[in-house]
Amino acid sequence: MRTLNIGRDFSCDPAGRYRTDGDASGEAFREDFLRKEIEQLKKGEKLKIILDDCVEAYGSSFLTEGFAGMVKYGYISSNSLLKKLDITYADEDFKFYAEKIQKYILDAKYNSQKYEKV
Amino acid sequence: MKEKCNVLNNKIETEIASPTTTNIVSTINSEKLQTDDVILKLVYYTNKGTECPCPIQSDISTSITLFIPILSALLGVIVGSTINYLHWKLTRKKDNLSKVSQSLLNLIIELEEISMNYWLTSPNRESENTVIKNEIFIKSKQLQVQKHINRLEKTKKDKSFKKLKVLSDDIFELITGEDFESNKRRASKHKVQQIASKCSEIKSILIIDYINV
Repeated sequence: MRTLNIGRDFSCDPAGRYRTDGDASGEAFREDFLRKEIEQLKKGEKLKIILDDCVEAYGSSFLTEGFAGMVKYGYISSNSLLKKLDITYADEDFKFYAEKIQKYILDAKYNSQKYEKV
Repeated sequence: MKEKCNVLNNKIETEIASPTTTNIVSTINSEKLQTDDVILKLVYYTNKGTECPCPIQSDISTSITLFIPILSALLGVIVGSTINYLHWKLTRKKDNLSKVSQSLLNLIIELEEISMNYWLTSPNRESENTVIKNEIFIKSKQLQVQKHINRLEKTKKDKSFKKLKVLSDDIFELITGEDFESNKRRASKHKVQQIASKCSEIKSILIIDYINV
């Protein structure tokens, strides 16, 4: 199983939606980290996402763009992405964000938008 | 006492074929029995020799006589303690619920104020630090709100809690969604109205269903 620790591998302060909002945006996370990690997974392999190591909190804008964007831009279907992700947290309060991520992924419409790099 | 009793039993078995009052009295007199033994013998004859007249019987009845009030007292203590414990637990639960609800109410008031200020002003160079501070506050307050909701979920799972949960989810989407933490964010009076409306609903539920219970 591969692991993506958002706080350690990406940023302790994930914030914003697009790259124009800062280096730790949802777009940057998706394009530079999540998408690459998902593409490198072998058949049946899962990607463990650690939500709460070093990160204090998330905004909806980051989570939507970072995770649901994978479906919205047609990189992967909702069900396939959910099957590949294993979202973990040590702090029980982060369950809220884990549930939100799953909801955003499920609600996203596959390939409904074309990704244009800003 | 037991030996004396056994001797007496044997005498009764061998000498008194059919125990009558005269026989019993003479047997009792001849043995010079103590009052306790006399009672035991009378019990024995009354029950036609089916009861053991040995002092053990006397010990058991004494024990039972003592045991019943002790047991009653013990049961009384157990029942009393249980009721007291349950009452204390219920009071503590209500107290906790009220404290968590009050704390959540304060959080919602703070979150409402910060997020209204945040969404009423578009970002500019002068307010950059204030905006960053507000974004940090909003995210941390929002997580605190979720912590409180999780605590409430453990003590109260009813219709009003479900409504509270939905509203807190809506608040999260409203305040931290769309252009939150974006440089392109624009002040939105409509969003502020929505935030105020949702926060008012939460406050009402907390005051009516949780704090003033």
